[in-house]
Amino acid sequence: MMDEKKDIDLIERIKSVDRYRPRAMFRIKVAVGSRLPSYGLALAGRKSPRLGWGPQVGWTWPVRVVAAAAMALLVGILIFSGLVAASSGSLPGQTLYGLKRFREHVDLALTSSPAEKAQRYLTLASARLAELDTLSQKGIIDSDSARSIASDYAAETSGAAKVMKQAASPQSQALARQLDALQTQKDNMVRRLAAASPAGVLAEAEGARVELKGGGGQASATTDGDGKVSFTADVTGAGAGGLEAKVQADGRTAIVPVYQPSSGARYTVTAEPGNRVLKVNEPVTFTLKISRLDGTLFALGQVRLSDPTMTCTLDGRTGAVAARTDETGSCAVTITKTSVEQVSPITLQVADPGWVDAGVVLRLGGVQAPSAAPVAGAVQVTSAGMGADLQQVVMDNGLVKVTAERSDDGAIVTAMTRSGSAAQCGPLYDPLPSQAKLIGRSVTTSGPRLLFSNGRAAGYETVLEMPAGDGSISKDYKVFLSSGDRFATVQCRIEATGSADALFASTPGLVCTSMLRIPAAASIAVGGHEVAKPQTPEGSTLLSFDIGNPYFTLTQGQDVTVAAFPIDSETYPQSLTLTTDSICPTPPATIPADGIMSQTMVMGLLDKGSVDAVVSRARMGIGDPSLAANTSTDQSGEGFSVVVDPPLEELANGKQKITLTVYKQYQKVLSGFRSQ
Amino acid sequence: MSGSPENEQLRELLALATDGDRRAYGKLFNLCYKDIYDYIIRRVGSHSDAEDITMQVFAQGLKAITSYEDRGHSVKAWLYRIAHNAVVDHFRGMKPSVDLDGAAEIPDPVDIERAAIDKEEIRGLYGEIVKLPAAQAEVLVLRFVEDRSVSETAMILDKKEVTVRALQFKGIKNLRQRLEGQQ
Repeated sequence: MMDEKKDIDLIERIKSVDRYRPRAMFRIKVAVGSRLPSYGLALAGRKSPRLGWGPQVGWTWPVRVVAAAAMALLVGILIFSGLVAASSGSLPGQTLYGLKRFREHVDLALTSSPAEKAQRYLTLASARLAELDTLSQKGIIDSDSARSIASDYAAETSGAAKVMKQAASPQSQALARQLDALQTQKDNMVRRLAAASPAGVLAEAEGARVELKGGGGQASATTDGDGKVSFTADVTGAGAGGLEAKVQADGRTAIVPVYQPSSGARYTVTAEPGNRVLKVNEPVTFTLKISRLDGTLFALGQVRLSDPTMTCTLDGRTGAVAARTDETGSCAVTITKTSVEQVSPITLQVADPGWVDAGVVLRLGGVQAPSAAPVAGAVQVTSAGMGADLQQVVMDNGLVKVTAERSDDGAIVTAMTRSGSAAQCGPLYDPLPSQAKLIGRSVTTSGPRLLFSNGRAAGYETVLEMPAGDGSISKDYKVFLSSGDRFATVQCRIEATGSADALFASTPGLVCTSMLRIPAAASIAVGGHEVAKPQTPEGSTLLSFDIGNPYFTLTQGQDVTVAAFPIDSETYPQSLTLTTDSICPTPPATIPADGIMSQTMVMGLLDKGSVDAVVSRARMGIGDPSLAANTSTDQSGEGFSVVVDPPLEELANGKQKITLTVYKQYQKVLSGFRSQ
Repeated sequence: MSGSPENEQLRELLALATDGDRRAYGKLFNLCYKDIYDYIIRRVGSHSDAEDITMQVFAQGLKAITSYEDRGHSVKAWLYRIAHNAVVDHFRGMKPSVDLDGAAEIPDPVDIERAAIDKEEIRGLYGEIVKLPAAQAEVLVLRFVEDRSVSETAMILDKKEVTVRALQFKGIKNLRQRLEGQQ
C-alpha cells in the first residue's frame, strides 16, 4: 500500500519533468515549413514534390492575380531568406551547402579592406574545420567531403596569407597569430580524425594486390576502381586456419583475417581488445577473461598462450608464454606482431587441473608501413603485478613518462619525467585520504588499473572511496597519455551520495581534486602572470579567473616548465587554491543536487616555448581522454580495412563467390591536408 | 484523450490533409511538433539531431498521409510512431559498417543511444529515468512525460499492451528503488 502511494507520487513527479523547448531558429524553420510544406520537405532532406495549392474562392480574378503575385513575391523572399538562414548550418553533401558557399563568396567579394578580407578568409577556413569536425562527430564523413573541405580550407588559408602579404596593416600580427592557431587546430583535428574509428573516412583502394590464402590454396588478384576483388573460395576447405587476405598497396602490406571457423571451445574466453589488425612492432596489451562453460571463473589458475605460426611475440617471447589468472579469471598478455606473412591465431591452454586445450582465443592480423621501424612516440606500457592487482603502471611515449604506483596516500600520478632529462613533475595527488584522516574516516584505494594500451595511447584508472554514513564519496581518476603528446590528461569524476553533503559542509576539502605538488624552487604563473606563494604553511592564496580555461605554469631553472591546465571544469569554479607546497582547484561551494562533479586537466613537462602550443591543444580537447580511448579501436590507422561480402556470419559451406572490398584508412586520405 | 478538443481539431486537419490539402497538414504539424521534438530529443540527446529527425517526421508524415488509416488512436500517436521509427533508423544509421579490425566491438544501437543521452548530462529525476533499461525508460517517457495512453504507447513502440503495462510497472519499481537508494 505504501509502495502504491509512493508510485503514484512518483508518476506525478515524472509528469512534471520539464519539457525541451525547440531552439528559436528551428521554431522559425517549422513555422515557415508548415506554411510551405515543400520547403519543409527540403529541410528534411527529401525530394520536393509539386505544390498542392487549393483554389481560392470569393475573389475576382484581378484581385486574385495581384494577390497571387504578392503572395509569390512574399513566398520567394520568405523561401530565399529562410533558405539562406537555414543554410548556415549545412554541411558538405547537403542540399543547402551550395547556397551557404555562395553566400560566403558574396560576403567575401563585398569586403574591400585587406585586413577585413584576411579576417573573413580566416573565418571561412575556421568554418571548414568546424564542418569537418561536425561530419566526423556525426560519423557521416566520407572521402569526397573530406577532400573537398581540405581543398577549400587550403584555398581560404592561402587567400588570407596572400592578402596579408600584399597589404600590411596594424592587425597583421594578430592575423598571423590567428592563422598559426588555425593551422595547429587543423593539424590536431586531422590527427584526431586519424585516431578515430576506422569506420569513419575510408577511401577505396584501387589497384591493391590481394592474395586470398587458406585451405592449402591461394589466389591473387588486383582491386578495381571500387576497391573490389572477387574470388571463388571453398570455405569448408579452409580448415582450422580459416581464410586470410594479404593486401599490398602504397608500399604497405597487411594480413587480415577473412574467415574464422568456430572452434567448439570448452571455455568462454573474452579478449579485450578483441580480434584486430596490429601494426608490426607495436605492442598491444590484451586482457583475457576465462570462465568454464558452467559459468564458473577460471580464477587463480595457470594458462599457456601460444602462436603456432611464430608471427608474433607474447610478453616479448616468440612461440608461447605462461601466465596466471587473478581472482576474476583474468590475465594480461602483451602481444607484438612481428610479421605480416600470416594471421597469428593465439591459442590458449588452461591447467584445469591437467593441461586442456581451450582453442583459438584471438586472431591477429598485421600491417606494416613502408618503413618497418616502430612509430616514433608510440606509447609503451609496462606494469608490475597481475590483472586487477597491478602495483605499478608506467606509460612512456618517448617524450614523457608517466608513473603510477599503488598508494594509500592518494597519489594519482606518482611522477612525470621528461625523456633524457632529470626534469620531473608531480606528484599529482588527491587530498581525500589526508582529509578523511582529519575526521577519523578511512579511504579505500583501488588501482592503478590499466584501462587500455594500443601503442597510440594508453590509460589507467585509480578509484578512491570513502563511506559516508548511508552513502559515500567516490573519486574515479583516469589518466591518459597519447603518442607524441608532452602532457597527460587527468580526468576526475566525483560522486557523492547519501549523507556526504553534510560531511562536505564540514570538510569541503573532501571533494578537492588534482593537487599538484610544487617543487620548492619553482616560480608560479597563472595565465602567464607570475604570482607569489604564501609565506607560511597555514596560508593560502585564492587565484581566480573570470573567463576561459585557467592554466598555471611552474618554472624551474632555464628550460623546464611544468604546466597544468584545468580544462572543461564544468562543475568547478574557475579558481585555484595555492598553498606553500601545492596548487589545486578550489572546491565548489555546494555539492550539485545529483552529487556528481567532474573535472579534466592536463599535466605536462615542456620546454618554455611549447607552453602556448600545449595550452591551445589542451583547449581544443586534444587531451580529451575519450579520444584517447577511441584510439583503442584503431590498430590499422595506416593500413587497410577489408569488408567481406557475404558477411562472415552468412558464409555458407562449400564453394562460393566472396567479394572483398579493400579500403585505405583515412589517415592516408587526409595526408595531403595534414602536410599543408 | 482521443476525444479531446485538441484531438478533434487535429482530426479535422488530418481529414483535410488526407484529401490532399498540404497546408492543413502543415497546420497539423505545427500544432504537434513541439511534443514530437521533446520526445525525439529525449531519445537522441542533441538539438541538431532532434531538429533533423523532427523534419524527417514532417516529411514522412506528409508522404504517408494519404495512406493514413484511423485505428482509433489519436493523431499525435500516429506522429509519435513515425518519430519512434525515425529515431530507430537514426541509431541504426550510426552503426559502423562491418570492419574486420573492429568486428568484435561494433556497439549495440541501444548503447549508442545511451551514449548520446549521457552526453547531454541529464540530471535529476529524468537523469534517473534514462539510467533504467531502455525499454522501461521508453515506456515511462511516452506514458508520463508525453502523456500517451497504454494502447497508444503499445502502438507507437509496436509492442503488446500487456508488455507496455509490465514495462511500466517494472520501470516505476526500479525508479523508486533507485531514488530510495540515494536517500
